[in-house]
Amino acid sequence: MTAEASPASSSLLAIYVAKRSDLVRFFTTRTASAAEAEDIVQEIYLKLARVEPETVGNPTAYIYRLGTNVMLDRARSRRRATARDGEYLNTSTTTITGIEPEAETPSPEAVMEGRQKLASLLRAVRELPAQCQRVFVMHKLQDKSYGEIAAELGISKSAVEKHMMTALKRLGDHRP
Amino acid sequence: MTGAKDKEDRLEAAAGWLARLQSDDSTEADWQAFEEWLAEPGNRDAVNSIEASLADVDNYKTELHDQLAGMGGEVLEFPQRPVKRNRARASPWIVLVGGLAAAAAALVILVRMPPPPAAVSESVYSASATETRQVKLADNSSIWLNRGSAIKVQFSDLERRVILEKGEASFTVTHDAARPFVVKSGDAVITDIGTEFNVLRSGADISVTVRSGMISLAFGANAPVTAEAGQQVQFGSKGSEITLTQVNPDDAFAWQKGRLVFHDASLAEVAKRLSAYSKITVKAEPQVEELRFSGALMLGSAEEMVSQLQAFLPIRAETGKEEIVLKGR
Repeated sequence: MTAEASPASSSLLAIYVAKRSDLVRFFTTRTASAAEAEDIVQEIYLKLARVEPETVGNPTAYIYRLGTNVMLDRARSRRRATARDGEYLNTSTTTITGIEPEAETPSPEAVMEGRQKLASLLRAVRELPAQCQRVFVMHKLQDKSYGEIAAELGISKSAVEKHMMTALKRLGDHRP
Repeated sequence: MTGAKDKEDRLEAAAGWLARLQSDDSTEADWQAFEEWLAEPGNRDAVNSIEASLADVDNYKTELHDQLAGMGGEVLEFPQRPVKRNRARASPWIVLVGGLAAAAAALVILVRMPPPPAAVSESVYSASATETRQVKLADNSSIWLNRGSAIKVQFSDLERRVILEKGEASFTVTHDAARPFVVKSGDAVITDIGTEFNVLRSGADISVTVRSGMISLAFGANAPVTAEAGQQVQFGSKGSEITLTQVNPDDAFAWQKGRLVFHDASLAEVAKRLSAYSKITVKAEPQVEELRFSGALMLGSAEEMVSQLQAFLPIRAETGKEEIVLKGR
């Protein structure tokens, strides 16, 4: 399978080729599956053919981040495929996602579970210290970059990173 | 070291790593150091645990944003104040708009959807359940979101793309011959040749109304259809039917002024439209779904709009947690 690469993205692809075995090794460690790692790294290749590297800061780190997103997307699709009772589907019946067909109506148990999960998440986020909560919401709900957040709040990027660390730790705590 | 403290420390370290690696400044060296750290037993689990929570956050993104955001603007208010619904008016009013020519033509065509070009910068915008929201884009185009609506904006050098994930949005597009403005919603692809149009998504049904200029619409594998000012194109979920009607476009945009306008719409259609902006599904029972409604409802919550409807039609509403069912009186 070949992907049409624009001339501008060929430098990213060159880096990909050079780092490919590093990437496979990393994702094998990350997912504990060599097969999954291979699939992820292959998907990275397909995505890279479409990116314009002028906007990419550190290209190698960018590729790792891209791969991490691929890994998470794949995990999410797998969860959706196995959770027929709608446990991981958005329980709001009027939400429409991109190309998926209308979701089956989730069972009442799934709806209740969904509500509880949302309530628990909400609590976790509301319990974050003020500035930390602000940073978390801007990064995770508004998809702003650390740079944008730093500029908007008038703090340094490393402060943003520290706040994210606190938020992530608390979120991790909330899960058993 | 006891299990619990160990776990705490690993979680903290994992949080540190994830926070670092999400930064645009992260380097290859960071990732290599992360890989080394991951190899130690217990560390991967810590990372997975946090990532699972983040996946949940992502799943409930819109709801969380609604609950945490202020009145739909860019600025978020902390701590959260309960959102007051101040549109509870007891007396609805009807506006009958005259001078409408309704010529319906059904067209069925076949063609491929264009492949998506590179997305470089992506931003997500959503409007809360209680307010509409206006967004200005980098190219000076503007998008107005109705309540409960969500869009994803992806601008690149090749194309300006917006994805209407849910609800309703109207677009005022600045002209850029080099970069077409494309709106995708479900299987529909709308390419802007002109300037002002409205897109409403209810389930898998998409309705596009043009106020000025011209647009080209392609639905799924169908060939593009052109619609110009004063025309409305509807894509239905049943098969590949595309309906083109002549309308007063101001009606489609009336929501910006707080009204939803209907012309001889069946109660089933009204229910579907009300469900588009709300987490609550509004349904009409078979015996009443063919009742016709012409008029304007004041934009509000699903319950508020249903209670306005009850003043005009012989129906009553049964309100449940997830849905409102409209029945005969």
